[in-house]
Amino acid sequence: MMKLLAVVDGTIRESMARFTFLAFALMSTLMLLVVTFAVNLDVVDGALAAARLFGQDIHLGGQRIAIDELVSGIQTGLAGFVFGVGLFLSIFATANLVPVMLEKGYVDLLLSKPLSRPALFLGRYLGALSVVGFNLLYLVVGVWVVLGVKTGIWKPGLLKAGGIILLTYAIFLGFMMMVGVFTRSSSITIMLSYFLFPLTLFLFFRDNLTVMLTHKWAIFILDGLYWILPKVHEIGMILGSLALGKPVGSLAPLLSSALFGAGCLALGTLYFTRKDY
Amino acid sequence: MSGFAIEIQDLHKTFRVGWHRIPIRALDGISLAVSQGEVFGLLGPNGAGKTTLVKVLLGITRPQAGRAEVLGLPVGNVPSRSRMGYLPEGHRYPLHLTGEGVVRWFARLSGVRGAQIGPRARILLERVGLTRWSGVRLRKYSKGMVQRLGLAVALIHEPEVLFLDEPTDGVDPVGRAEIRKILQEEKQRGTTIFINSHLLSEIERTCDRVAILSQGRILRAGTVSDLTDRGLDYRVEAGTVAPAVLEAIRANGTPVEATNGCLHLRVPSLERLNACLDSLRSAGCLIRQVTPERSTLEESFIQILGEEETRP
Repeated sequence: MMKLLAVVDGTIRESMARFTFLAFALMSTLMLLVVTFAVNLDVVDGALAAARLFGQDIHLGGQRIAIDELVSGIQTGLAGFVFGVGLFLSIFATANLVPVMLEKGYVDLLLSKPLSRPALFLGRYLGALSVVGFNLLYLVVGVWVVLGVKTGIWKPGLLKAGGIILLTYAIFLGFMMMVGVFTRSSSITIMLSYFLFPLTLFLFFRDNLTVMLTHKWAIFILDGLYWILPKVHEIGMILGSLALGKPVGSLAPLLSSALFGAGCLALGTLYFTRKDY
Repeated sequence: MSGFAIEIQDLHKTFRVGWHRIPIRALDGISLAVSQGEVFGLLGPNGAGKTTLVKVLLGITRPQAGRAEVLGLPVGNVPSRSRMGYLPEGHRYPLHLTGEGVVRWFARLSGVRGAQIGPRARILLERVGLTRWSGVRLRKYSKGMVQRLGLAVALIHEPEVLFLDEPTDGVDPVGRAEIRKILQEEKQRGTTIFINSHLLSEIERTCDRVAILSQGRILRAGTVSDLTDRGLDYRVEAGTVAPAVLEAIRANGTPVEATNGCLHLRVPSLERLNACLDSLRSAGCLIRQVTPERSTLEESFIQILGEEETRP
């Protein structure tokens, strides 16, 4: 267990030494500072009476804006932003974790240590997940607390959305670990991971295409890919519902996507365990 | 299987490379035993299979056939690796860490307990001459310094068997002498040391026994004296010898060369050597010294590889 923690710790330190994570942390801090000091909300009788950004009044157009709706809106906006930009940055920052570990002269050293290969691989996975988790926790919980203190509204939507974002990253990280161990290439890992976004969106709208297809096998392949690959679009919709505090229709897309991530991680671990270095 | 730190029997390993999966035989039936506390050197040209053999012994690569044990345990056994240290060729350490940070992190990976890590790291960094640099990040280190750090990393958990792949690569002569000293200290502590190296002079100075590996097979194994012994070649210091005496020796079927007051004799037996000495004495030569001639390890190495290449 101590050795596994050493791998996790080593991975966290390695990630923290990278500029990308520093930039991520700086962006989060900047966002927190803006929400804390630059946004001023005057709440009267549960509604927003006045709002100022960087000391300048924001015209509300005479509309009565319920403060809990405003908080939900801010939380949803932030959740959507982190889901898109945060995932993009996190994938970019951690795509080389496995290729770096597999570099000649480094992998030999690690494999010569009294640590099983699955533990080494999973330690690397948990390390990357921890770094992204810390960053996410810092931003999401920070904004949630600041908004709560400023408005007195403590809606859990953003926290739930944060959990979904971390789960989505965990799914992508499983995929990146698998691609990384097969190809030993950071660039291929990044390309394939980013390619999943448009591909899964295309598969979400596959019904529009299948009406034009005559071959059953083509429809079968599209359906199969849809069910196997992560459902980023649907996860985004679940995230939106949770952030807004609305009921979520079905968690099946989330569960099948998690299964994909776990499957990729298992496949990557198996390959790493059996491979000669 | 006891008394040996390392025992290998009929080990085979073939890699398949490229799209066509072309087989490359890296180890071809290797059998070898290294005693506990011995310093063993493995020599061979590039691609001979030296690193593959070490990787098999550390469980980094798996053999297709044969048996290998280290400290009485089958290779690949995870707990046994806590009793082995390894300095790979061309090793890479995380550049964002300091020298002490690297040693401490690998100590944790090797299972060294928390309270022991700090004192051990400091002692080892002092032994390898890096105390002043212990707080400096690795990106500032020279190649020789990284090599010495690698030795500290390999020793941090006080291993019983130490595998070193080109340990003096990139190290200056002073650093090499320091590394030799550390290896001697480890030998005295009872550590079994297995060295792969191209630097034959280093092997000659450090190792108790050596083996020469080529194309995945062991061509010769033994002590350095065994490998450098030229058989019945002798050097006789006998002052000036008359050409007629030399001709008489040659006439008896013994090749002899005279250079700088020394005779170099190649005799088929000790009896013939004594007969030659008798001839010299009867001709009035004063014999001061008779010594068997030896090759350097490098000469023997090249000769053995040459013999292998010319073998049908």
